[in-house]
Amino acid sequence: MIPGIISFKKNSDELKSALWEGTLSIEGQLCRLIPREVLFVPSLEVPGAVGSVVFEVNPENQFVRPSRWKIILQAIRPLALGMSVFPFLVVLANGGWELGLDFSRVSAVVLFFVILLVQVSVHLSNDVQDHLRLVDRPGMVGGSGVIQKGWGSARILSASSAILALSAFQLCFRLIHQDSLGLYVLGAIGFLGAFQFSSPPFSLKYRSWGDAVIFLLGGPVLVLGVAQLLFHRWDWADFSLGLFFGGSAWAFFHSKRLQSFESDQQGGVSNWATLLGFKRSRHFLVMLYGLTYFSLLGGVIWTELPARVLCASLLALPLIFRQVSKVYRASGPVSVYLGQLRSEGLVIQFCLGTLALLGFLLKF
Amino acid sequence: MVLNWLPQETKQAIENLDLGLSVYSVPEIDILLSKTVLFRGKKFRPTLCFLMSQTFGVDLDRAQPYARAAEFVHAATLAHDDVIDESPTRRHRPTLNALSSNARAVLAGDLLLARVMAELSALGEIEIIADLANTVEELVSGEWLQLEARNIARVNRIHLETVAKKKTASLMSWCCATAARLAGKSQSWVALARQFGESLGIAFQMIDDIIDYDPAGEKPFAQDVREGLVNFVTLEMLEAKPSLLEPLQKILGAVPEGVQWPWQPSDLERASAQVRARADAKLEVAGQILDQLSQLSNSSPDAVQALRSILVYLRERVR
Repeated sequence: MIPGIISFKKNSDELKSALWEGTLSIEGQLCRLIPREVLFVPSLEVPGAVGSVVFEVNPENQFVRPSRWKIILQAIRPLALGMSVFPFLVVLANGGWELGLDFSRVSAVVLFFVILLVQVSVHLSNDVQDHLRLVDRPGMVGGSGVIQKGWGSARILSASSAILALSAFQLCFRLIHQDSLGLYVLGAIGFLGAFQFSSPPFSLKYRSWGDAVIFLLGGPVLVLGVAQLLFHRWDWADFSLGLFFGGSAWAFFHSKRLQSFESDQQGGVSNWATLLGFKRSRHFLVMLYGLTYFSLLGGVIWTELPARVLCASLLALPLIFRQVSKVYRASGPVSVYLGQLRSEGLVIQFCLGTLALLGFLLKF
Repeated sequence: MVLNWLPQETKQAIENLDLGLSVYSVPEIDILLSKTVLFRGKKFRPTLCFLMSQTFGVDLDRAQPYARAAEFVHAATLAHDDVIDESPTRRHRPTLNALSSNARAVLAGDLLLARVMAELSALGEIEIIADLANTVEELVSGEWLQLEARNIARVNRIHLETVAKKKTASLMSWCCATAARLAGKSQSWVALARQFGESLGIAFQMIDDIIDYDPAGEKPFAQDVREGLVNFVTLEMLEAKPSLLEPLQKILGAVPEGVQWPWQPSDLERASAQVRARADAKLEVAGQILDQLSQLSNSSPDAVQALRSILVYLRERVR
């Protein structure tokens, strides 16, 4: 008889296989395994806890999955793609539309696909690493949910991530025919940072400066890199846009950290929220949104950045105010008011990108 | 809870547990408490205290004041909870606030806590007292978190686990850790005992949540939903079927007469099975800790067996 649950000891080969493959043959029948619980049994003999992982067992022939396209769509996390798509589009709008600079349409399209491929690859790799580290389980915040729901295995997502990364790398070589050291440096930082965000050996996400990396990669590095590649130049307006997008990306990630504060703290995860503590983390969220807007303000005052971009982005303030007021209303890191921070942060980030782009495009 | 398998020594200690207050200045408080929150309770926490003490080889007379303290703290939280929940009955009897008033119920609860502080201070075990103070803080913050979540359907798992840990498991953890401290054990043993209490407490809460959806249970069906609370079973249903969120939010805390529940029986069955599996996992952890505790040289095999029986009893309660 197929058991409803099965458990494997931590660090055992069976567990590694179960996490990687997501399936197991039980009594000749292929079964899908979904991790449900991580059990830590403190032990007097073994330093630290001896743990096991409990999986829910579902016979493969009875396991219901949605359509392949729905699974793919969920895995790539389309809303979150705004984190790299909007900086690209805004730089294009600033250079090509606002300043009327020449650029190669082919290069623009190729670069767009490189950016998309890199971010989707990072999303998939992120899901895999969080799953293997047992950070993402049913009911926990984070991830696309594809592996958590048993719709795909770590092996398949990992392979897909690698294919997308290689494709991005190959396409990138077609783009780089500029003799610019700065561009190579930015490109190297971008690629290394993206692919080391959750993957070993550096696994930046699981270290305290992971979020600062998001600020750099999703902000100045991306914006300046795109500007240099497309227009062979960048200016301080681009830099202020880089700070704007970096700030909004970091604010989104910090919202996620606030929502998962308690589980991160229990799991010994080091990030800016756990380092600052809950109270100060709230102030830090406000600071990040402040940075986002002040960078635009600085760009309007001291560079050629049009004021309408700042004005348009101010329309996101009610959403930001609502999120921040919930954070301050929360009695602590486990408060129910924090339950939607992640999705609200994502919507805010998407809105800021959309509004900034509209600010450029709607020339009066 | 009928615990026929308790060692004779433990049964005696429970029966002899003096829960009288002798409040000479206001005897009415004594009477009210003895008719309500101190009336024929299950005395599970004192039982846990005694059994863990025997597991650690501690004399039951020495554990007695701490068992009494545990029951008083529990009774205090019940008195306060009944005021917060505006409950008219508990254990099929009028609550303290129903019998007298909210003000008196709050004061009676405060008195119990004050009595605990006074009695334990006289014994001089500073670490145990400090631990209990932290436990009371956990109880308060657990209740605060739950209050904050009242009538809100969008609750996450970490919130429920934290509330269960603070509201239900913290006092049980204290009972277990106290036994280890009385035995003069190192911090590692205290932590182990505490973890046993925590796993037991969380499993207890999960099982309670399953029973909440049992039509043949003691309380009305889905009493938590009626009180505006999402419990572990409700959360499993919501996670499996997010479309239930909106209809559930409409009835949370305001269930109409003759309500058409928004979930299917199969949704409830699946969710109950999931929570049962998670409770089993917690009891499994408790069992493995008990295996380690039973290795102690002066451990009472009867007490260890009784604790194992409790784990089995909890598992069987929801089969």
